[in-house]
Amino acid sequence: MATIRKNIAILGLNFQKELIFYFFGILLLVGAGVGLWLVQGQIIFMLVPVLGSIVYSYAYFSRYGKRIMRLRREEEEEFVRLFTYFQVYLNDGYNIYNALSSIVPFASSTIGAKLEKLIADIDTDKTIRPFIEFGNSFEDIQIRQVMLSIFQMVDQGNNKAYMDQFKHVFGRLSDQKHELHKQKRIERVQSMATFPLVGSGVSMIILLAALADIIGGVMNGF
Amino acid sequence: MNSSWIISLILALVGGGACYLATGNIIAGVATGVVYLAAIMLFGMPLLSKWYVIHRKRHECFRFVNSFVVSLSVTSSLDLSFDTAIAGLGKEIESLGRSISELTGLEKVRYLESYFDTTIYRMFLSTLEIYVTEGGDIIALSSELLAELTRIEESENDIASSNRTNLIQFCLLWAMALVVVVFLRFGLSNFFSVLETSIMYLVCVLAFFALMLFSIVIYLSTYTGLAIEFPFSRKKHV
Repeated sequence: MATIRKNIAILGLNFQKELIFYFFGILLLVGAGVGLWLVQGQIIFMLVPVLGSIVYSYAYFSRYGKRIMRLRREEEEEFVRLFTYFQVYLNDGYNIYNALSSIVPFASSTIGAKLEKLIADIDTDKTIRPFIEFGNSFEDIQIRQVMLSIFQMVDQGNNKAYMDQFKHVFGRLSDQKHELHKQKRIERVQSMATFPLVGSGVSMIILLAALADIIGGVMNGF
Repeated sequence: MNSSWIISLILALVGGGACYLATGNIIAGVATGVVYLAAIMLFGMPLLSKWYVIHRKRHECFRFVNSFVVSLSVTSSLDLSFDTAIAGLGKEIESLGRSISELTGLEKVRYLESYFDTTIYRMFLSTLEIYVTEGGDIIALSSELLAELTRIEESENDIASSNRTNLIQFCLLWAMALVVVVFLRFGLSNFFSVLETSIMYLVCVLAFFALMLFSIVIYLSTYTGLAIEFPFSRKKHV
């Protein structure tokens, strides 16, 4: 429960509100089970809320972890997009500080705040620390390597060798993230094929229900 | 009648018609058709329309920036480059170009920022302003940007191509499941009078059609990469 509470807090959601929605879903399932039991007169239909609750609980609570992972992935994709622009500015003759300042307007509020902090920290602290701190706010270790190569450019005054090193490190990360993004989007659409398969399963249940009704009718003398 | 209505009507007729055939219940058939029409019109079609516009503008942006940069490197004239880049892009952007013909070249390019509404176009504007104020070789200045634009275009084309193949698979799988449900009635025709009165059978068939509708809407959202927006909800765009 503590992990769920923590994940809900990370996503900026209201814990109590989320629990209310959860119990509302459970209530609907119980209502459906009781309704079927009363209409059909068979207690077996109470399996609907029992099995439904297990599936529903898993689906409901596991989505927080998935959302956090998606959020982190989106932040990393934004990093790649922003530092592609950073590279464009470097190519156009900007220095590191100006290039960093110029990409802030293209950033989301979350990354924008991190970038502004990085720029402010660079002003006061000339060591590697601000770059490492910024890199540490992302999960991917390669982002830290990119930040390290940017610091080396600062430290060596846009030395061409360090510039090439940055392009190499960032290019590798960028290719990897773009490929991952493409694969994710294709996989998401491919996973939709599960729905027709579930539909086929439901059609089999319909067949069973039909046969059960027919057999019931025959047993009762039609 | 626009294409959104035609697609929604076709899907509603397929859903409602198949439900009627499977249950023999006209009320269930009509209700399914109406729910399909309403849900697809309210949730599905806005996604498709929005996606189509985004897709078209992204493609136009790619072609515009490429043509503009190449033309500018040859002619060194912003006005001429704008006219060259905008030619043959599409009716909407061409008419927009005609409506701003009195502006200067740079103003025209700046004006298109609200039309394309992407960060990469803003980045292109930024590069162009560097070129205008400081000079230099526009091809060299925008080489990284052009590479990024090409990469985005190629990646989106790959995704679109893969998604088209997947769409056919999705439709075929649902069509097969639908055929099974409809032929159930004809396969068990001797007993259909018993089935017609069974609430359990009706509930199962309706659940099948509800699942199909849900999957169509979710599929459209996944295909377009856009979140489903509830109608009449006022979302503040930043």
